[in-house]
Amino acid sequence: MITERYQELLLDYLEGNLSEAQRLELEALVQTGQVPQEELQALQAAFSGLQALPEPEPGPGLQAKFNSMLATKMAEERLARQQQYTWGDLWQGLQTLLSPLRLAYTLVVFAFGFFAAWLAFSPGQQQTQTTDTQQLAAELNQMKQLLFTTLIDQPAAVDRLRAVNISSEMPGADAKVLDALFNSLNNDPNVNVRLAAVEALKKHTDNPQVRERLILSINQQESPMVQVALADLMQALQERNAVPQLRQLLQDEKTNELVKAKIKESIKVLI
Amino acid sequence: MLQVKEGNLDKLGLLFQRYGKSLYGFYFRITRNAALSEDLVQDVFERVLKYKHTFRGDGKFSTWLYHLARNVLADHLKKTKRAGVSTDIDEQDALPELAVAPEEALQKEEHLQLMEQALDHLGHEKKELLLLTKLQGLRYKDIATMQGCTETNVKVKVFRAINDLREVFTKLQAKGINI
Repeated sequence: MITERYQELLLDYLEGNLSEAQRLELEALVQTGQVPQEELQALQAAFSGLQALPEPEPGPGLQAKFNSMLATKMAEERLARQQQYTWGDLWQGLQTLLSPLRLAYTLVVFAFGFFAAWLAFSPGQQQTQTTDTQQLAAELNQMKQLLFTTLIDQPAAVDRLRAVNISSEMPGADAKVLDALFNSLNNDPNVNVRLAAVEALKKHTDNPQVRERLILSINQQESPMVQVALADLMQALQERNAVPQLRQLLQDEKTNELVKAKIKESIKVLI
Repeated sequence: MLQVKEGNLDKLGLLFQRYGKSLYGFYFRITRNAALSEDLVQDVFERVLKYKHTFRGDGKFSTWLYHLARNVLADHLKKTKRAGVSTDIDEQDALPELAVAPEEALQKEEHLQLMEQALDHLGHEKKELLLLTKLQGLRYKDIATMQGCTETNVKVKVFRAINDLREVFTKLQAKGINI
């Protein structure tokens, strides 16, 4: 058994780092049997055996993995650098941008763009365009009027309904259209067409004549739904002139009770 | 390394050429698993990049590198222990079979195989110490700094490890294990 005292000395011996004095000390130890000769030899054998071990050879995977790792890291680093703008980068960018040649080029392109825009949107051009649009709109309106006058005289209620709906799409309805609408409101045999006519006429209530004719139309209605629709409209318009007509409808025995209740309510609101 | 620290990542390739194989050898002797050793080497170089700012340049680069390498290994062992993965030597990649060779070469080869086996029978700490000092060429002084002890202390530990190795080696020889 080798005592701890000599362990460092023995290691130096194995590594060949003994000084002359240490060598003599070790020899003495071996001679006295404190360090057995066989053990020393076995140690030497183990030590040289260990040092003789060849380095394990890595496969190609080691280099490949490293290359891929490095490529990834470098890409990440490049990306990180791109994102980090410094004042220096900004100044450099500005200098490049403001170099005389680039500046001149930019100005030329800008002037060209401005000229092109002026040509396209100059007042003269715009006027022409506006006139074109107006002409188109007028033509469309004429078409609608034609369609309206054709459909309003059709025997089928569906066609007449379509005509009334078309009239509400027309921006400025003329007297003819209004006459046709009132004709539908007062004389159309179909209740739906009459109701649609009320709706279409609502848009023209700014016109005092339209309001007047609507009031006169109250007594010509026999359908409770149309009567209620007209009463509602009068209420919404706050048209006091309609009160006598509504009262007349109240007194009429043929008037539906529910309609009477509604008319009473409307009269109350109007007065 | 200082150039890598400055952000010149290309130079990491040079460091890899110089130390990659040796690191691989260190890990392979501990794990006996080629793919795992390759992965661990990558981990070390990733850490070199991650912690490059901590390299002051006043010590040897290899000392710093093996300091990282030991940490990577310790983390790996901790992870496998937590996951319940066995690190028993017997279950790892078997040492390569001997090729048919002339008698003398065969004997020499047998001797080397026996030595590798003896190394595997040592405890982790002793094995790591022998690998670092005797095979990876780290100085006792550096190991002492790494482990926070005196140089004499390291030398005593190394001697004990060699002594253990000798014992195991002799026993294996006596048993006449057929490798």
